[in-house]
Amino acid sequence: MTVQSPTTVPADEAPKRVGLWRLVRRYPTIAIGSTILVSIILVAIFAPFLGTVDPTAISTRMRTREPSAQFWFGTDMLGRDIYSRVLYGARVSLVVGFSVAILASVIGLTIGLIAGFIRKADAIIMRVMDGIMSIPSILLAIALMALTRGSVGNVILAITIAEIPRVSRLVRGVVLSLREQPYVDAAVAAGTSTPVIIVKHILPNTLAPIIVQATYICAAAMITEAILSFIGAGTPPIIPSWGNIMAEGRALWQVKFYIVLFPALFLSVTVLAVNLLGDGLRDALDPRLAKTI
Amino acid sequence: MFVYVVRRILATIPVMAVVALFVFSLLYIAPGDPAAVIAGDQATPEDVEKIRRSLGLDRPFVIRFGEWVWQIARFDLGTSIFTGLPVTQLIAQRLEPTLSLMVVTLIIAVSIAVPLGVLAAWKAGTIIDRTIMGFAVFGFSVPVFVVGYILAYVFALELDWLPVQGYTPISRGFWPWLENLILPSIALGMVYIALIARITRATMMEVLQQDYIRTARAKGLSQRTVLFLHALKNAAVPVITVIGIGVALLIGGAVVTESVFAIPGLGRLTVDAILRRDYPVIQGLVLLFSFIYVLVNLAVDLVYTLVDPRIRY
Repeated sequence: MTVQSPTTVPADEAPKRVGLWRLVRRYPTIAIGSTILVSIILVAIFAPFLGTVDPTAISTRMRTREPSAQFWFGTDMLGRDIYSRVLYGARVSLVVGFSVAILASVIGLTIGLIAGFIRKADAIIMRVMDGIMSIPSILLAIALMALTRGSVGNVILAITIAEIPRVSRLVRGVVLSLREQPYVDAAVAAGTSTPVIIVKHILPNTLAPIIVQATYICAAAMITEAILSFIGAGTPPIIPSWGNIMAEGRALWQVKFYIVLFPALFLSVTVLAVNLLGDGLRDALDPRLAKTI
Repeated sequence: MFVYVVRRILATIPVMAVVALFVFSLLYIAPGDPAAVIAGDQATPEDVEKIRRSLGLDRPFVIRFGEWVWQIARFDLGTSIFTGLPVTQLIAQRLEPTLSLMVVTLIIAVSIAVPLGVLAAWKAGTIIDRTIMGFAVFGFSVPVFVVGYILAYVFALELDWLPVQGYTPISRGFWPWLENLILPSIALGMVYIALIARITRATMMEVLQQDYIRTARAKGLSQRTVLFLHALKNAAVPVITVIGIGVALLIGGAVVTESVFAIPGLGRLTVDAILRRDYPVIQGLVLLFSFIYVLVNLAVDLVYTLVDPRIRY
């Protein structure tokens, strides 16, 4: 989004040195986004060593304590330490976000390639994808969650199914436009087999838009997970996740706002970081795409 | 033109068929045997089998699907397991709050987002542009319930300007109705505003580079006339398309917004149905929302082919 502003275009008279600072100057959103995201990942990994206690430890005497030196983010209705719960909760969001992004990209890529190359399959596949896409994704995930027990794996699966059509549509579009390119025609004329054409000529060109799309899917998946957990159809309540903590704080939000506030802040900042990264990657990887959105 | 309209309407049929098949499968594979539920605890396996046969549950999938579609066509969405009431009746009771929320959100979002997008495109590259687009990224990132709680905390609890939660039917007056919808609509509209503002900016940037805009400026027309009358008109198609596509965000977001603001609408009905595993209700709601979404996008497609003389079929 910032790519059109003249100030973000790097000065060419600067020495051609691929230093970190240069990258930061050129793509500030990537730098900011990835810095925040890496910090959150580190926090999630090292949660046990960051002054946390057992996030599921119940203490009836310590219920709904305001944030203090002892409980940095306060405690919830069952006396559990919210700081510890929020830090451990990062794990769920990150695992769901990354898993959905990877799964949806890989499956969507496969479906998109099939649709783009096999004319007969195309019509059927795309009608199915249109059908899935016309069910609002959160609603689709909710409906799928209603069929299964709440578990992180099922949450990942439900959100992935809802996100696949977007990737496959994108890939199909790229494939259809590439098939008309002279160099693909040349490859066909030279007798190159279809699998080789896909791997050598088509795949590399789908990579950039897929990576960009995957970051947006990652962000959307994190929000959907939180929403599912918030309405009680997501991650089981035993596992601390940002959505669950907010769900538990829901009844008390008018008097104990901090219970809702801290997981909300972490969720928002994490999603913001992923979105910034996505915008930056879009500008960096595909200048044409940057112009359209 | 007429052919196009007919073809576009016919094109929604396969889409709705896929949706219907999906929604039906949902109930088909849902855990729990309706026959066993009806038979009760003391039933023998033979009793359950008898009930299953009398309900037609032993027949093949295709026949049951056909019957179910026929049932839907007569506006019968089945009976709620939990309340024993017809699903259509449950939906009808909850329709007004959700429709109100969506309409108010739509109006607020479009009237904020389009001018912001136009302004950003006009001032492209300046600090104004970057502030607006930064705000858009923010709008994409902050989930609807986070915005909802923060708005409710600041404007309802701390400042006491607006009611905290609840819903007042429009029959009890326009202002009481609107008053309750302002905060939820802003919360729900956040993502929508971000989306529309981005698209408006992108399309306006393209339009503003065209020759006829330079001509209009050269004629000495005011900036406002050029932007809103000449440019925006030609940027309308992508913007309207995104408004249509974004309705999916509104539907998904309404489920959460209604929970945060205690609005007794379809979103709350969805959440309650999920928690009670009331499959016929879930089925009916998914079907209804998808149907609305498909219809909105059909309407959008038809509207701009009618409005934009450049599109000829």
